[in-house]
Amino acid sequence: MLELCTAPPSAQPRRRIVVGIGEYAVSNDRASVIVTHALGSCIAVCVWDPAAKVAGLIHVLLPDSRINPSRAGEQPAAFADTGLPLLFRTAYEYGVDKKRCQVRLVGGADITRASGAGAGGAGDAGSVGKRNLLAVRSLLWRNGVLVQKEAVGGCEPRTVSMDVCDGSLQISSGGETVCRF
Amino acid sequence: MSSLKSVTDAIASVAERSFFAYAEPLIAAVPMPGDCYEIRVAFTGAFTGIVRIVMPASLAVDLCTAFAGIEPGDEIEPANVADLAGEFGNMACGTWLTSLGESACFSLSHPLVRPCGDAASLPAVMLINEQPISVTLDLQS
Amino acid sequence: MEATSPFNILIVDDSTMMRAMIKRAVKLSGVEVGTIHEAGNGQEALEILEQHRIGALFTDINMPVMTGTELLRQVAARGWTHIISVIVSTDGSSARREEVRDLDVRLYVEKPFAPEAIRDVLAEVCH
Repeated sequence: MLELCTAPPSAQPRRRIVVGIGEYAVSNDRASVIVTHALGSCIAVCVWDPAAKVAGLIHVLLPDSRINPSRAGEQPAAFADTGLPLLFRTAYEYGVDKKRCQVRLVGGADITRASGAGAGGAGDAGSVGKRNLLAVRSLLWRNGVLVQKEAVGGCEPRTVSMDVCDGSLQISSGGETVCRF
Repeated sequence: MSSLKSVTDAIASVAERSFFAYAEPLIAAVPMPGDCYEIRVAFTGAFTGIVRIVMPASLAVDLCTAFAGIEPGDEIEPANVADLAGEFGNMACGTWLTSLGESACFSLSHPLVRPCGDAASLPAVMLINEQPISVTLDLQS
Repeated sequence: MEATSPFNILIVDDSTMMRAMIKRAVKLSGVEVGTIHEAGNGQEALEILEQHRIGALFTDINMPVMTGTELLRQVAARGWTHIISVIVSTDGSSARREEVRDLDVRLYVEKPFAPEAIRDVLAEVCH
């Protein structure tokens, strides 16, 4: 299990667990907030069990580990097909029950539209966000998990903070809060 | 927008929404494989015609797997694959006709699904999960 | 007739796989339901409705033997007002919605739909 923290500045009341690209974290520390940045085409899968009070978040970069098995071996959380099972297995170890699980998705943007580059299509960087979203949705359905809420698509990168106290999400883009779940 | 483009847009929408499959336009010609299903859906209403979709048998299995939420590689009854291929065609045709916003109701026939004997001679028009599919629209009135 | 307590569901669609998908989504929805019945057309559905107490009916429109629209007309004609009817169809045209407007349809789910749509429908009808 990979759990990253940054030492909070003294002014900040909450402990920040920062999840980088291709990483994940699970926590039951109610004083913590799990944060991930730069969700462009990447997808954050956020898991919350309100009874166990456990939160988990993974920052998925690509849909399918078969395109780079070597990297998948070193960083399984980078890929949807290897990362999601890892996130859920760890969450279960913390006492999460799949039937109680609330799953939210954030990200999957086409950031090439924002930059004006690319027009989408086969192999184009603009398609990665959609591919990630489809892969994650397919895996969740296959594993009997429905999505509760999502903030996906569009063309702007997002940051998401997940409060371990209550599982609430704050999603921001360009420094502004755009929604809360 | 050409009629065929609006049909392929509908197919893409169906593929993504219910089958979690990635649909994209064709950039370069891709040959159709020999082992394919042909799906025919006839419709009547404001106008009459047939939508014909030809897809590789392997894609039909992929779509069935994803739709049913089963593990890739798990065995699926061929009858279920054909049933779902037909439902795919049904959804694609219905989605397309709904998108036209016609004022009259339309009716779809039960989809006809069978092995396609002439797939290799057909032009692919789009890709779903990197696999080519051929689509034709035969408007009769 | 069965006891009214369990909320029984009837899924009507001529596609076996579509019925299986909706059934799976119902089971994953988190909503407590009783027995989930299935029918391949409107006529089979009527036979089930005559034998079992059904709380919610999910029906396609275009089906052989008896369409979903005719099924809903039969349900209305029999005064089965306890049944919550939900249409699940590719035909989302304004003309079709107008046709079923007087048939006490509670919700309309357009195909293609994500599995979550079934959960959302159940949450609303069981509210």
